[in-house]
Amino acid sequence: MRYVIAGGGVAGVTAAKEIRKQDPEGEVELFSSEPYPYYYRPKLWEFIAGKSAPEETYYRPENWYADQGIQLHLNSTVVGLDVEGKTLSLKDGQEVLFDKLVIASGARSFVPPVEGADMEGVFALRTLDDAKSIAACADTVKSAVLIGGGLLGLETAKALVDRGLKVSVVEFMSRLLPRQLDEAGADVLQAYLEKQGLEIYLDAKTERITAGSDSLTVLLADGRKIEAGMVVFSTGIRSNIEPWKSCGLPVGRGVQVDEYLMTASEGIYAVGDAAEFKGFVYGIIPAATEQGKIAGANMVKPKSKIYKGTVPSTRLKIVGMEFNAYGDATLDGDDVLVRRVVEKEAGRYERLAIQDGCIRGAILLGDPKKAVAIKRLIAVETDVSAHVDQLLEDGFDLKSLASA
Amino acid sequence: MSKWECVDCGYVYDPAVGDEENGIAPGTAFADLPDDWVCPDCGSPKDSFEEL
Repeated sequence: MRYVIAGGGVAGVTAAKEIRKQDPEGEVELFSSEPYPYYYRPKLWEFIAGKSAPEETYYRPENWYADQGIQLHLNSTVVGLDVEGKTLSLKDGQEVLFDKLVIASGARSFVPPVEGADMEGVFALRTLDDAKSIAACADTVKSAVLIGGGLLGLETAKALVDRGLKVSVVEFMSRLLPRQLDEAGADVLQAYLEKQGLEIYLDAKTERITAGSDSLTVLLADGRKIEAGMVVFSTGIRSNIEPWKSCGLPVGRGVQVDEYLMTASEGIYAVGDAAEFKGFVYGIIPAATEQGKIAGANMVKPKSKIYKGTVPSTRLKIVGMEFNAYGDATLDGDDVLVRRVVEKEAGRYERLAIQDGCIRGAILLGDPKKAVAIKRLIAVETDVSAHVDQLLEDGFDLKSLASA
Repeated sequence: MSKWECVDCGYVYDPAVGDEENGIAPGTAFADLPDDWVCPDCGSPKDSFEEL
């Protein structure tokens, strides 16, 4: 049996590992468009902050793959798929035959069509090579504008602050982390970040970027101008679906899969940022590892494992401040009970959204201790109706409730 | 000895099982894992783990 993995990110590597575990005999071949073996993306921020070397971002040495009996092919971009002929075509013209295939081609940065976004000194962060370019440029300038006040944008902004730059963050919406935080929570986070030296621009639509003699200027739609040495976009991702669009498989925002993570074609699976499950592309590490494991198992033993979806969870760790959001974090409505703790000075904000007796969403800012228990309560839909008013009290035993 | 969960990917480190693939013998407490030990599933560092 010849298993082929198209993509070397966390979803692809997890699938490869699971295939090997379930089938010690089969051939496992992994094709990655990257020049490096899989690296843990959050480490890129440590590298940009100047706290670690690029090699330290690698999660496993190159020989790990060989030790596992996984053939690793770097610089090998897949450009097409022949479903009937069970063949992948690579950019260099090579053709790769497979018995079973898992599509794990990941995603890339999305940069909106803003005038000037293609200029020198304007970046987006996704890969280790992006991080290297950003770090090299950061050493030649004194300030940066970060466009996009989401999770990854704030992490990047903080990494640049740590590298010694003055950083402004430009957010289109009226608050930071609009998808994970409500107004009150965003307010607490913003106060904290401003204390860290970040300048925050809200309700700010980037109109265009212009170049001066030794700096760039970001022009906002309302007339405000921000001058800086470099600009970094952090405005979302798009799945890498181009190689799969013309092969006959149903493709939406990602390659569509069923509950076995199988595409419309027997023996071809899709996972991670390239996969669309029930209309949704997750774009987060926990979903990528969960899907990688399930698809890997099903490739060896068809229909042995069912994927039920992943509780959305996001986490931000800015020196001294931890942020977790789970489930439908900002859920609200007439049938939703909301419980909050707001301590702006201490940088603490907690919010639970309870519906039909179960926690459906949580925001935890400042104190990570409750995170694991609350995540579990959401995932297993524990009935918490008897404890609604105690859940966020200091000293309440969430752990026992979660493991009951 | 308590189990620890990787908050990035959900992997659970169980001291009773250890992490054989990376040379960690069964019976090794989380606190005794080397500082450069990382999550065997996603590569997240040790400080990304929460006690269960």
